[in-house]
Amino acid sequence: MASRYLIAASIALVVVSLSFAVAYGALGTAVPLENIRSLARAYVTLAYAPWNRTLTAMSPEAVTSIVWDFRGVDTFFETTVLFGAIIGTVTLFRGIKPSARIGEGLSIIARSAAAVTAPMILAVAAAIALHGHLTPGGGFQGGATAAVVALVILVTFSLGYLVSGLSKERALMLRSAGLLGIAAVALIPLILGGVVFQNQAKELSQFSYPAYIGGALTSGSLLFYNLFESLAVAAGLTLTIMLLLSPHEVVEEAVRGEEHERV
Amino acid sequence: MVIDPYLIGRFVGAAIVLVGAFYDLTGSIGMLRFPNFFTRLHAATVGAIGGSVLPMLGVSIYAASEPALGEYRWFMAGASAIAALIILIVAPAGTHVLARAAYRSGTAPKEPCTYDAGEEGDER
Amino acid sequence: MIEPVNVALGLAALSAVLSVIATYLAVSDRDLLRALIFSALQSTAYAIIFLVLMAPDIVLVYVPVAVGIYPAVVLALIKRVGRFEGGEGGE
Repeated sequence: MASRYLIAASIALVVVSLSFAVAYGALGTAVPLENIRSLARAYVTLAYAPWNRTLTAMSPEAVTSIVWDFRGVDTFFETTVLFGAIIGTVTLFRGIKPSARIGEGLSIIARSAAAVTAPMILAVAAAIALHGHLTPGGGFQGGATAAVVALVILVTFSLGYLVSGLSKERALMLRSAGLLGIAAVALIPLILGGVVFQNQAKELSQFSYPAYIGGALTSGSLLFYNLFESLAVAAGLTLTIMLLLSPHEVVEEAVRGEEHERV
Repeated sequence: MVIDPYLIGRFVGAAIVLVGAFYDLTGSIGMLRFPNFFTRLHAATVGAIGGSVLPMLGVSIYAASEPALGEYRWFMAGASAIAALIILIVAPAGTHVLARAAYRSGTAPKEPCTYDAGEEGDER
Repeated sequence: MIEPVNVALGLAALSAVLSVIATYLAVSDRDLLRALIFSALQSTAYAIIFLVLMAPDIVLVYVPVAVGIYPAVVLALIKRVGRFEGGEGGE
């Protein structure tokens, strides 16, 4: 047992000495290329530039403007990969129907604490998602935080309590609605004479999402992308947790039943 | 002699942080010295409530009475106070869940035991 | 007097070393439950590093995923396959 901690300490020592060597110039001290900095500078300055409306994303948050405007297609592909994984899970667990029978759950103390904190977490998730174009955060972050609420409810109340509020079909529907919303926001500019994933007006295509709604900065399409992405991520992760944590007997019954039919 | 109220606030905040450090020390000594799971859980709760709720309230008071921080001091003070409140709600509930699970499953030994209220079939 | 930025960077360095140790312990432990806890510790250390390096977007992903969803999913897996690696009782 002691030898394991010795090995851990020596690995840590190797990492520290390697990082010292690199920091003091074992691989040379030159910063690679000048042009990398200029690319980053261009992104950061163009994120919010009302004086340059044909190139800006109109969002003071550089990360969100890169994620959903400058590099929107990349993010769309990442979202597709995640939802491919979720679709795989749903397909593997396809015969399973989580029962809506409300179980006993944990003690009253734990349930009260969860009932107090779950709305707080949900409010934080909504703030992260809907302020994603103004402060750090965004659709994925808000959706993952909202999925934690479902996890807390599942553990403290019961699986049936969660399922009676948000059934498997409804979660699938919410997830699909979120994905459809993302696709719609991406495709509407194409229909109305712009290009795919267009946010603000460019020189060649004049379509533009409104940068301000009622005087509040909404950064055009970024607000809608964050809204729909958080919806899709929250519903998809909740669905995954719901299926993976369903009781062993239900899963086994579903798997065995299918084999019986095939034979 | 005029006493600056901001100065008093800073001293009070720093004193509360120091008391929290004392609780942290006590909690960690208890964590190492206590004999079984349930008493160690008690030490962990001393560390969580006295050692993190109290210092956070102290930080809140200190930040509110530090004019050099400008308007942002209200932001820091409010955030620390709310974090303290949430830990005050959540940490005892988590400890309770752990203790209840360990007691009912019988995983943790109850060796040095002076009084066991749950022994008479009390299902709580 | 120590500069505040050095305190923050020192915190990041400590977290990095902690994450290395936690990674080794997570890989080498035969008790999968303890390995999961070490792995979550490693993710938390990464979250601290990202916070110090001023990448709050990544931190906001790391916190719910590392503390909530990842342990829950892996716990479900451990419940199905058994707690100890390599047969009955481990060791």
